[in-house]
Amino acid sequence: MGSALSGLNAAQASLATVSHNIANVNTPGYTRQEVVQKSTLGQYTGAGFIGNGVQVSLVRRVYDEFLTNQATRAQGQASYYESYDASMTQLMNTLGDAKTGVNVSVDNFFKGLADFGARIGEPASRQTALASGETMAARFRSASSALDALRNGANQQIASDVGAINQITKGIGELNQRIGVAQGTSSGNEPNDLLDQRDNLVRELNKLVGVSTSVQDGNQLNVFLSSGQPLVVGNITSTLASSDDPNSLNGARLELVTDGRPVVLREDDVSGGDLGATLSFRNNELGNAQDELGKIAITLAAALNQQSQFGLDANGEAGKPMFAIGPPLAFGAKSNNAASKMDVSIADTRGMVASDYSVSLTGTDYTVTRLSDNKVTTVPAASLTGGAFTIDGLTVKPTMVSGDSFTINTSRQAAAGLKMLITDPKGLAGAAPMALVNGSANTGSATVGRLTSTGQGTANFNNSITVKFGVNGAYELFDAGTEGAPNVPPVSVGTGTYTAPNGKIAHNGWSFEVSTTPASGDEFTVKAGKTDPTGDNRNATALASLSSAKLLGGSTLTQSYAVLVSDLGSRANEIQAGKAAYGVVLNQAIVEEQSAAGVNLDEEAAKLLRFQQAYAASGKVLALASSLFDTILAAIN
Amino acid sequence: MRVSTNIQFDAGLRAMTNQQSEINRLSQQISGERKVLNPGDDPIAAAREVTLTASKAAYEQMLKNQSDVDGSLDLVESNLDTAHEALVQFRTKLIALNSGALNDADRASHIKDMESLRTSLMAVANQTDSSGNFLFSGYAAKTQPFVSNAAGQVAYNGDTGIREVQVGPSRTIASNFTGDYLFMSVPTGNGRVEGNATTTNTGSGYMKNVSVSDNTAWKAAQAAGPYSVDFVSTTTGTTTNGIAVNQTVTDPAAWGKAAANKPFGIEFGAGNSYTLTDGKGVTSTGTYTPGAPLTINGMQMNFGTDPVAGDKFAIGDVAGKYEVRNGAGAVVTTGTIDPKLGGSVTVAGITLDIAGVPNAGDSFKFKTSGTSDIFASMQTAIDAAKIPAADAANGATQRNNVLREMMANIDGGIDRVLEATTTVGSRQVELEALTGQDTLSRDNVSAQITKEVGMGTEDLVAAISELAQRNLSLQAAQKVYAQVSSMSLFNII
Repeated sequence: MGSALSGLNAAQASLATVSHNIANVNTPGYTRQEVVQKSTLGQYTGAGFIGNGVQVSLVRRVYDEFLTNQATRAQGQASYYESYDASMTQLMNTLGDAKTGVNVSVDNFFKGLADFGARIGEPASRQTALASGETMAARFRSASSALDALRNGANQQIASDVGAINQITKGIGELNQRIGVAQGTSSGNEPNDLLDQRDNLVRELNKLVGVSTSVQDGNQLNVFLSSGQPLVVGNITSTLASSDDPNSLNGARLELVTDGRPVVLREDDVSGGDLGATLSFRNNELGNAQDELGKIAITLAAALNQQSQFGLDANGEAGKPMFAIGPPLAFGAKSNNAASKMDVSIADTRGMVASDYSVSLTGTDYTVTRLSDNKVTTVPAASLTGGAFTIDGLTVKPTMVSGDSFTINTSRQAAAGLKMLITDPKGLAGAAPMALVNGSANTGSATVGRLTSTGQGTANFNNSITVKFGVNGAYELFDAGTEGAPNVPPVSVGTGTYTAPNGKIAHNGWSFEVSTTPASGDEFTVKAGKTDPTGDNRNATALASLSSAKLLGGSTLTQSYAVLVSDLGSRANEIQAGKAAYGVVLNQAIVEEQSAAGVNLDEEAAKLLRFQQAYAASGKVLALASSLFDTILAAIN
Repeated sequence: MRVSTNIQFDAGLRAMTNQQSEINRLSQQISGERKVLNPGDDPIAAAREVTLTASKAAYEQMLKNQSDVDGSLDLVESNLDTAHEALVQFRTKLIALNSGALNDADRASHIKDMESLRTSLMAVANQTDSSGNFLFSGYAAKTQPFVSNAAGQVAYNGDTGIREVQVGPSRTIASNFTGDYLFMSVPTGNGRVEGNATTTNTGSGYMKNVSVSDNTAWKAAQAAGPYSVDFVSTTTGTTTNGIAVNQTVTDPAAWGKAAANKPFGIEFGAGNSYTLTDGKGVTSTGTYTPGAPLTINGMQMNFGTDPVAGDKFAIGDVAGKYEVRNGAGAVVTTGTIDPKLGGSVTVAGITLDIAGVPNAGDSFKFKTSGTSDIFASMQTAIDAAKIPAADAANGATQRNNVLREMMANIDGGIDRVLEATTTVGSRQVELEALTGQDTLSRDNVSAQITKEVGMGTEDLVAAISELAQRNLSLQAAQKVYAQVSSMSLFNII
């Protein structure tokens, strides 16, 4: 009878476990459980051991640690790529494609300028050129502010990830404690459901940030960031926090706070999961996109202002700068003296180069490195005027001690501040202040291009200069003086040698291109004398022709934008491939994990029948035992 | 392999979701006719699209500029045609005035026509385009280029600015001509040399033709101009009693005025007095100062010895004798031409054909061609035509000479206008070629864009067939899902 009873109990325990499995079929992280039973040691008789029934030895999780860990790791990677991909898609949508991107407004602006050049006398073309410039500037601003919005979104995402991570690590710590207690009080039996919960939390944590785990003392799970920084040790948890970063333009940095002591985390310390993806996206893709956009804005403003300020507007006045851009930003190195700072402002857009700079002070010399081409300029501290020096159109006012260094970023805010400065259509400088005239007796086949402006400061429009060529492209410049004070005969003001092909000859702030080496005796004159600006389109066509000028690193502005699109596209493509690959990996890992740990209802149904039958059988045995007993009692009676 | 129930459901769900997302992608591709929906799909193609779109925009802009310039040039050409017509008619008038004898009344009607032709040419020169910009004022588009002053002289108020319009990456085409070029700096004469008869000429001689006969010689000699071919009277005669007399015209105007009353005879009387008898028999008297030359009617006479009473001789000129002087007044060469048939004078590489009979004192000048203002030339011709037949001695000569010279200038004007018209033509031919080429290039770029990111016919067919296939797969996945979810042991027990 004892044996039958034990059978009943065992079947009941199995039925309970089956029903627990069925009930938890949809519980995330649930591992199916099964009852492990063994036969009770038999009672020794002369005939040997007589079976004494069954006993439930434990209820265990059908758990494969390897498979579960694999799925958890895959989850981290998959979440990382999924989140990254979502961010990249947002970024690409923000910048738009070839039909809606910034490039369209740039194309339209140059179209407007070309129309302006072709129809200089029509007020409508002036108005259109101006309006298309304003539209373009607005498009740059909106693109930049959309990127800012993405950055804000990323920062919010980081904050919410940090909050969620802290919740989860706290939960893991608590579970560690409860598991320790439960296992202690149940004489070493595993609290299956608590373990499931903890495993599930680790997986949830992996969705947010890549972590590694190790088991300590048999039941305590320690959790580390992928770089090894501990998040949970036993029941002690560290919390993540974010704080302002004065040494970067990318926004808040992360800190790991253990026992109230914060440690600043580097970007590489946090990898994987949503947080890793968001951080990397914010610091790399978003920053690069905004910088590249800014570089295009800087180059655009510098080139157009250059030509605009060379020309004459509709009233015959010297042209004004067309565009203003957003301010440059400076940030110091971590090791800088706390009081060090640097003020940077734009002195003249025309001189600006689309590059970052690093400025360091060693002894009494400032070393300025232009990062785009690593051009080094040494500025002795003694040469500063008003505490400031000028480089590439920037005024830099450092407050530094020796050993300090700063980085100047010119591009991050440039597009955000792109603004058309000319508001009156008459202010567009369509006329040229000077004429380029071929010598009437020229015998060579050399042709000259258009007069463009170079350098900063006001070009000298008043002196007529004749370039006279000698043999082998050697030339001499002769200054015929101004209209009021002519030099008779013209005075030699310099010599040079032409480099074929398309060599440039520059003087007084203007320059022009010569197609091939001119014949000896050929002359070209840059002739002073304002013309009537109402019908003079020379500067307007010079402005329009900037659309095909290789202004930025050997590319036109549109090509630079194409490079930006293609760079981002490649990244997005890479991420998309990663997302697809890790999606498959995760899926496979989960299928494998679930093939062991997952609940199969059919299986449970079968078990239900089985244990029901076992229960019924044990019941029958009990009934039989009872009737045997009754038989004996009846016999006795 | 053991499969958990959730995995079964998930797998079914995933199959459906995947198919649906593919169907969504395909339908977006088909409806948008774009292969590349997101730059991430094909970054290289997306970047190429940006540059290709820019280059398409550039071609479109060039095409637009080309059609703009073409339109401007059409307008210019139609005005040039009008100008040409006016000048040709003016020239016809000059020929009419020059040929045969016209009375004052005939001329007056021609003059009216000429004046109206001049006015209509002015109107052409001041033509504006649809935006009110003057066509021929250079950069000074809002300034009326041609304005007559009170004296009837025309001033050019424009400038010499040429608007070059970008019609190709490295090609510009000028869209205008300046009034200065068209009307104000028309070459005089034949473009290399111009000849003028002096207005005071009295003879019927005129310059039939002035041309360069020796290029090198003229190149070398032209700087020393202007040259003048002076017909001189250097009669070396004797009086009846044998005194040598040398006669020179010193005042051609006076001599010309007196020409109608030729021939003159002179006879010296007592006490240095003389009596002059003209061709009509009218006599006058005068007194001679011994030792000095005697000038009568612009003719200066030098005597070898002082004449005495009874000396008499005829005052006259030896026809056809000339001296050529350079700009500095030095005699370069001398010679004679047939006084009745005319002839040619060749000097400094220039041959002048002189027809008619020049009088002594008449002079013809020639020099390197300059430029003249067509309106001034027209006005000069009109003014010359107005000289009445009844004018003093040299009126008709002067009129004819001026008309002939102005004819050369008007020819120069016609040539200039034709030159501009030809230039317009060749520019338009080039524009047409550029437009053809750029249209082709633009279409090529469009095709390339389609190839990179768009849906060609083949792509479209492929996408549609894939869509059909995906639809089928989706239906299959749905069926499988329904089947799997209905299969549970719990349905049976």
